Amino acid sequence: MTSTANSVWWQPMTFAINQCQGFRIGALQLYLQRQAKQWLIATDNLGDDTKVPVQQYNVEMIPGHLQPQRYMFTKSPNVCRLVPQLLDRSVVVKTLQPVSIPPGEQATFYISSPVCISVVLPAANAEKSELILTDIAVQRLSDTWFGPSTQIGELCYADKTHARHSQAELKCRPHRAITPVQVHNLSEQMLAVDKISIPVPLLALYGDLNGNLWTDGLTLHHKSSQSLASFKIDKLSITTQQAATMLSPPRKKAEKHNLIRAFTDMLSDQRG
Amino acid sequence: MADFILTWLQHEQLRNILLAILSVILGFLIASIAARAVEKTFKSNFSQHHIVLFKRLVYWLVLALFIASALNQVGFSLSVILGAAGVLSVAIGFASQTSASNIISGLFLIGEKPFQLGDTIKVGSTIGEVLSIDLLSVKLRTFDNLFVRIPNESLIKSEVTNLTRFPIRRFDLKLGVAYKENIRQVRELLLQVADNNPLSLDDPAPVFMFLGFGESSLDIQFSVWAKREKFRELRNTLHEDIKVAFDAAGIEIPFPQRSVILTHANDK
Repeated sequence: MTSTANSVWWQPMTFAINQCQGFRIGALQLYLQRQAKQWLIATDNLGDDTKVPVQQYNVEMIPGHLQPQRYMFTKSPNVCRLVPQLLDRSVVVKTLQPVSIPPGEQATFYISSPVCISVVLPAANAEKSELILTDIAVQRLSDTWFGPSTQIGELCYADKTHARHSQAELKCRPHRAITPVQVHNLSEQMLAVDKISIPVPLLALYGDLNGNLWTDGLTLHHKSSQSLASFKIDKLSITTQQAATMLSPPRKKAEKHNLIRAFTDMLSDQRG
Repeated sequence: MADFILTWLQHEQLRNILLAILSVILGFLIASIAARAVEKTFKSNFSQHHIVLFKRLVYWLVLALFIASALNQVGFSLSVILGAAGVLSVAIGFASQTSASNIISGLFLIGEKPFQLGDTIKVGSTIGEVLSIDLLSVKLRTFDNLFVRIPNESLIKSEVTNLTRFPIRRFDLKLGVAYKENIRQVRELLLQVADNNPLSLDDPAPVFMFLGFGESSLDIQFSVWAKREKFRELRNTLHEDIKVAFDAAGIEIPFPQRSVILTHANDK
């Protein structure tokens, strides 16, 4: 078994018949196998997501203890692509250490959120779109509720962040996408940032040549303690010096009511 | 033979009867078309159970008009029928008190909207999904797939719990640990279990409550929030996770014990 580090792992791959490949992406272990009339996909969760970058290797067959999902074809396509995508719900990240922004100041945080991987086969003909076999979350995040009460709000994923503020400190983790969040405190009070909701379904995902994943940036304006923040999505700017390609467009279009909801819920104020 | 039929057809009474039948048939047709039109018109703006109500109202109103005109055609005088109905209604009113009470309760239920079609409600000991809200009764489907009809009157009178009104729910787990256990360690462990369970919401945070000193255990309530649809799954997994975590940490969940001391009668 030879293992190679693959930084740009979202490129199309060609599979011979009965070829089986294993991928290690964060804590996710993924196996793909092509047979003459079917594709087999099996996943395993290894719990440890510190191993970087993505490892790709040939294996003889999918390990016996895993139950692969089978996808049947008359003749199985020979090209396959792994496409990283952002999650389908907003991610609420808690800062590991308390962070405060004094009045009139602004700060940029780099907040990462785990992605999910789509296994995509090419279109059978030009008229059809690509075929997404499955969508696998690299890391299963806990559910959380984000809203002013238990009746109003939205269901999100919960995650924790270091809220790093310098690009140099960022760790390269191929299974997490980094969102630059710029917070302007325009109010006259100290703003405590203990939680930030990142509306990832509204953001596009980009990949650079080093295998880093980036999303569009967010800018938040905090005006008063009542109406919390207005936010706008900035098109990707952080990696303009490197060639970044868009890997997946936003899952949802930002609608008017989305903006209003985010407007009042984006940041949480200091809680007692 | 043909002459015979023609003579019959020319007979006025028979013609009226035929016209009356025709108008009833037409009534059925137009009523169902009108009901469907109502459904289409209100589909985007009204809730499902209001649409069903409008539909039925329009259907019966249109049909009643056609039946009245058919009766008129046959020769019944409507004023006499209505007069008779007035007298009858007093008698019927006494006889059908329950139905009238159900109908009025039904109107209140529809106005008040404590639940909608598709909601899961609990009435007394019955829990089920609401299939329809009618003038006389509400129909439920229980989770063991039984059909339950509950009269509106009893719904108005009794306590109704809507289990699916709000998007998240709290699960209150009551458990006891042995007196020898360190309660702080138990709290840390339970919070850790909730943190590791992806179905338990981070916010609102799980709540640990030390209820007091029970007969044979330290009584604890541990409340965890979950998404409405995942409530049952959380209840199952949390029980399992806690048992596993307690076993691993050597924390004992006691059960009531009685000490029985046997003495010999001769010892006295």
